[in-house]
Amino acid sequence: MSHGRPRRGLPQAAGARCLGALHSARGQICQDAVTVVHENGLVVATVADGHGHHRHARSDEGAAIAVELAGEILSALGRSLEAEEAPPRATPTEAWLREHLPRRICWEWNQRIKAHAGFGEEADGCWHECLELYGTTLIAALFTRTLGVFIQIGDGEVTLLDEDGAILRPFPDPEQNVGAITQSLCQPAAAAHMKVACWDLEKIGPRLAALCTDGVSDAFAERPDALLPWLLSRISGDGWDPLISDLPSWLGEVSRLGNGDDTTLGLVYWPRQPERRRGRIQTHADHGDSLPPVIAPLELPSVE
Amino acid sequence: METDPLGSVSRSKLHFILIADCSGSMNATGKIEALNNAIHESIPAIRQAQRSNAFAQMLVRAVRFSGGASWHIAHPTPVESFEWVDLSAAGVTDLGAALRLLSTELTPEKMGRRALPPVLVLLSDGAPTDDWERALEDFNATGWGRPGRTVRVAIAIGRDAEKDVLTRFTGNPEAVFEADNAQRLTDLIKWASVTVSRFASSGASQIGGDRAPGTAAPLPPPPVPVEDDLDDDEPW
Repeated sequence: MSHGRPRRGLPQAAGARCLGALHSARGQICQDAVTVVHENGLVVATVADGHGHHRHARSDEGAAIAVELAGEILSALGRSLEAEEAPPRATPTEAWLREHLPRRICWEWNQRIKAHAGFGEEADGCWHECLELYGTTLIAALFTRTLGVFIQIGDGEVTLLDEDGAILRPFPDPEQNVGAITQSLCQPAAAAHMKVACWDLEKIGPRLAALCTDGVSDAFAERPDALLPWLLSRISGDGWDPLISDLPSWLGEVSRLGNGDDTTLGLVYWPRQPERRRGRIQTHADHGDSLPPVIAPLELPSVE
Repeated sequence: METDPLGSVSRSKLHFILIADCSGSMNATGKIEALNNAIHESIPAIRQAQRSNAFAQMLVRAVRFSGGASWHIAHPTPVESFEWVDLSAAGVTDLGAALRLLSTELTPEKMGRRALPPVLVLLSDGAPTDDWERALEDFNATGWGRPGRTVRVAIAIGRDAEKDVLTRFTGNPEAVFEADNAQRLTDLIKWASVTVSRFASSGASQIGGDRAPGTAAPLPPPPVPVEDDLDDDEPW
């Protein structure tokens, strides 16, 4: 539990993407997408990687629609979780989410793609072969004050760094995930391939979370645990804003030195909050004079 | 501050593996010499292709099979330092032994989980003499041997080659090519090592669920046989 852990401040979040060096050389556009939603202490970060194959010629549009709708659905989920009287517990929440969230996201993605493709009033959430043109992966994370909700379909990675410096993965790479095979939102049974996890943030004590497309995770395949400690050390050393402003050019270098794929990263950072000090009400008697009562020292804002 | 992990970023690895039949029948009408010559002739083109591919590191290996199988080039060798030592031919056609050898190497533990699809080029002039079907089933169930993880090409050397067996290996009759003379063999090996390797390093993801042993995407077109060459060479 949280006993002994430093207090977390409000999370900061940002994302960046970069057109891959190989895609640039071929005159292609970036097929990755990223969004970050930040409201009232809730954070949703999403990344998506449109498949590059010519069978998925509009995958950049599929990825953009995927991150937009995942941002909306997870934000609404976050608001409802926060509205609960008692903080929801991770295990039953995860069971509920596994049943409902993949179907909701896949249905809405199908629906929006079909509307985008000109289906008009017939744009429902049923699978249709036209969806293949828009094929994309999707990784999203919602962070409330107490819970982290993660979803993933396809390749790429979501990783967390905890207070103790340990790397945590909600979805460890499964045995069958070998080679350039990926699952996709455009598959007929996409919901069955979507992974869902819900973690208790008080147990984890996260400092940093990263969502990345495979252009990033494959580039660091030799040292998969090196990225987050370095990012955290940069935030601690130079600050959050300089890191975020450097991120696009750094992602460009990752692509240039790596496999030339588009590179996309969504980051969520929890700053440490100074230890709360016990407040004391000063009285007239304390001062020995006629000053009005004050509260000293000021109470720090509660953790969100 | 921690060291920027950019230093550990590396190009994707493209494993190119030749699986060469060295049975006694390869001695007939100079087939084994033609195979050795074809690979020697392909090396400059492979190196040139590597120089123009900044985002993939091609690594070459070779398996030989006759009575049993062994690595002819065991270590994944960068094309810049790839040299070909001529094969010799004798014995039977233990294709199954070659596939079992591949099964032990094409694992996530030895190859990693994320790489470009390995290109496997099977060259054979005859019919297997061992339990190749069981070995192929096992190989197709291994990490990197599983459906859609590899790009497979088979070259039938001469008219006696068992094309059905080669088709079972590739999972696709359109990935089986016949070389009935030395020039055609050279052209196909160059095509497989340059054009097919470039195709495999395109980096496009494949959707899970494909069931063909090799890649589900159509291969780039092979070179067109040149009539003059057919006239000059003795057909196999």
